[in-house]
Amino acid sequence: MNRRNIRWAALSAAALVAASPAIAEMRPSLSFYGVPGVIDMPSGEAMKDGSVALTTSYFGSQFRTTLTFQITPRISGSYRFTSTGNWNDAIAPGDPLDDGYTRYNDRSFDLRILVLEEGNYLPSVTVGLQDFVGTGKNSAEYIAATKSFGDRFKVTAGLGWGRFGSYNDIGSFGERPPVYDGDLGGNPSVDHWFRGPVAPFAGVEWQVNDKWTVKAEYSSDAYDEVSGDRRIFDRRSPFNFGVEYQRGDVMRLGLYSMYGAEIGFNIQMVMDPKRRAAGGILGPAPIAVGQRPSRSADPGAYGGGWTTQAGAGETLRATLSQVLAADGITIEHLSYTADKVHLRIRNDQIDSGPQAIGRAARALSRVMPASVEVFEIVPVVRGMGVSKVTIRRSDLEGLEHSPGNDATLRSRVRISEAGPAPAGGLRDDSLYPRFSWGVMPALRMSEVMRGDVGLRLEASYELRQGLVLSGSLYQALASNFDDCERCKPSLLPPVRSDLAYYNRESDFGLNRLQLAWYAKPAENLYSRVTFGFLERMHAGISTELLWKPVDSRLALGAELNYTRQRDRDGFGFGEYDYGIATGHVSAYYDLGGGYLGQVDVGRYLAGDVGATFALDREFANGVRLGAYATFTDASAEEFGEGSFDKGLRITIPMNWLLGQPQRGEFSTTLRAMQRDGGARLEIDGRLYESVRDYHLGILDTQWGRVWR
Amino acid sequence: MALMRAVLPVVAVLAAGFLAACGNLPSLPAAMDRVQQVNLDSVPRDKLRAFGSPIMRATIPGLGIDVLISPRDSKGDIVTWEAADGYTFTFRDGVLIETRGLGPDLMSASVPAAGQIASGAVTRRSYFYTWENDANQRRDYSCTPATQGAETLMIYGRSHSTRHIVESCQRDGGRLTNDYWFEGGSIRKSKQWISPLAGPGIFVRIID
Repeated sequence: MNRRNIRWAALSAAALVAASPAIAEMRPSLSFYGVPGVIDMPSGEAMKDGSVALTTSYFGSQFRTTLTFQITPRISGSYRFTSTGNWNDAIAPGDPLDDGYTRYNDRSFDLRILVLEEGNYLPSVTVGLQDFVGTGKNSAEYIAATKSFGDRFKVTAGLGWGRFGSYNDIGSFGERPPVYDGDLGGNPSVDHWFRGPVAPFAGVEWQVNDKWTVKAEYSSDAYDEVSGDRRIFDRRSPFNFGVEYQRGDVMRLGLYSMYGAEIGFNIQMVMDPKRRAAGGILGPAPIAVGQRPSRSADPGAYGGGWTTQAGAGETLRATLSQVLAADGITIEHLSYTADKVHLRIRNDQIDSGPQAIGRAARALSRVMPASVEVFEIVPVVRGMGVSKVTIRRSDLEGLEHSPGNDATLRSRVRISEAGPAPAGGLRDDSLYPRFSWGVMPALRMSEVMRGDVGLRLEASYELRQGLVLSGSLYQALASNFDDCERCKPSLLPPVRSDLAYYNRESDFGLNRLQLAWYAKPAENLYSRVTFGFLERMHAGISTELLWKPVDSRLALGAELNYTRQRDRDGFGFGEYDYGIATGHVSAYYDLGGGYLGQVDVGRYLAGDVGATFALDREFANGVRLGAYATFTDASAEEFGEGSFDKGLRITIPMNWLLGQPQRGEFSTTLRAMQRDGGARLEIDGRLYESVRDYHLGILDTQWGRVWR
Repeated sequence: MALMRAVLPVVAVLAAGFLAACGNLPSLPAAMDRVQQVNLDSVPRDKLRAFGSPIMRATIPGLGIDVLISPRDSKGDIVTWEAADGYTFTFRDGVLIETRGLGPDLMSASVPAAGQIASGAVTRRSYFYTWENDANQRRDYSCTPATQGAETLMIYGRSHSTRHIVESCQRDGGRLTNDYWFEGGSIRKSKQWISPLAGPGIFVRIID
């Protein structure tokens, strides 16, 4: 174990200790459905705000993998993939239940609302909708209450409808419509909610010590189809028992006796995006702020004559460049007067704007002659100056070691529109043309749980400021995707649903090869023109204009594209002979507290017209989770299974995993089904995300890192 | 012309001064890093003295960190010490006010002067440390120092007569202690709190 590993291990232990409040409390553990629960039944609790949980469970030929996100302190959402084996084993040929599947896969979404927080006397109470927009096979609604007694014992009791009302019901709330297999699903099944038989369930949990917990429950799920009709497992008893082991802060493992007949297991991983694995930002300490001689001791040092001195600018640039290089910062522009310096930086390494700005300010304080009192620092992204941070040097000097200096400095700096760079100026010689590349492992999903793994090579060549030629290649190394089992003919042009055919066509793919031009045509305006193979399935031209004042919560954008669908082998356009003009107007709003809303209205790739609504939650470390839904004039029949496009999207920055300052991130969208309605071009480098990092919302949430 | 002559050195000196700061000091921690490949307890004092710079040993049990540090820069009574690993520790007259590079860092602090601690005065402290969501969290304490008595410390073969003072700090919902071993008016050794996730750090001045 090297020193860093020891550190991390020690830190995890320290984090665990620190995370334990004075009076230990039982954290909610997760059920087989991956939501706070006992074993197979849900509980009344909510996870810690912002938590992300990944759960995999198995019993009786049923696998369930669930991702749950505690969106707000009271609301959580889940995305679940269930896979049931031996699906038709016990079904006679010709039986109406014989649907031809050997394994039945299903995806579903849950929504839970904590309606009451636990108090001294009252339990926590949650209302939950399970599989509330699915085909209905797993649909259930429940009200669950959980009360803890002391710090080791918890009791849960609840009432369930749907699946959870199927065993020993105590009455019925009207008639619940039958589950209809032929349904396209995907729409909220409001007419099912809290209808039909209602049955009680209950459970107890006893935390033996910090690591071990034992559980028992009474389940109100009769497993009518799985156990009754299809006899995939034998449900002999409503009672489940289990023992769970908490390993570190993140992982929990459980082994269970299920329904008197089966052994089950459950692996739970709960992550808190507010916390970093390393407890904070690693990476070397910053250099000290430079100290000027006092004006009275050395008045000569404060003279401005150096500005006219031959070679002074070049000396300053070279020295500054050397200091900034340690933090992966390059100089896009340096100009100065006797009392002011204007520095445009490009930050390729530090994942936080304020930290990069702080480091640049420290470097300036070490390098600039004493007469320079005002530092103007302009972060440049894709060639565009995105904001201007004006810092007084004497503030930097005076606050370097003062308590609470982040807040004080924030109150004294000015953050404003970048404006154009002053005429003249120096830049790093090595800046343009600039070539960069990287290889990373990548995943190509053709269907859920089916696809290939391989390597992605990305390269970019910047010809001059704002003009970038870039490309992305993929080579598959291993695949578990043979045939397009679930590909279904689309009633819309197959602008997305044919992706599996593209992937099957070749292990190698030229995903992207494009020339992009970024500019800042006017105050608060940013523009982009991209031309080439924009993504795996479409090529053409894409143009975008964004209005985003530095201090505005609101941004407005417009995008106009004309693309043709690429052949499956990637290069021609004859196979589909499909060209379309698409475009959107977009409104982005920073709701505060890390919540971001977005509405896009326009025409989508299949020619359908409509709008996409998205809500994301972003944490200071860049972890971002959100949900979106797209409603277009494509009918549910045209769209196919799922009725309309919706999903969850997740972005995890590298630095959250590694702890080190490192730009770059991993993003993915989880959909119930990728269909052709509501599909947009996947464009690399859209404007809003490009400029936002250095605007007020994010700068303020990350400002604590300015002295880091 | 006279002005030009006065100005030219400014740029040159600043640049040279910076390069010196960059060039010389890191070489000391780098050399100390080689020393640290061996057991820090067994390094002879002479070898440490040969570096020609003050040396302190910083140990943070909670993070598994045990390093030698040397002064990087000083401003009045504030001195920043650095280790080869890129960690820095900043003290005001021997009292810890900042760390960097640890992860769970102490970002800034309002602390009593060493003299106030030594005199037994009741003081207030504020800590600002890295916490959830990369924001800094503040904790305020009221602190009371108490003398534990005289203690003789053996530090790398040299004995030091010290007065052990324990500073007990309280806030609503929490408390912590800092330990100081005063040799005359200055702190020879201390055990000072850094942050909730880092816990305390132990700082021993070996070479003055």
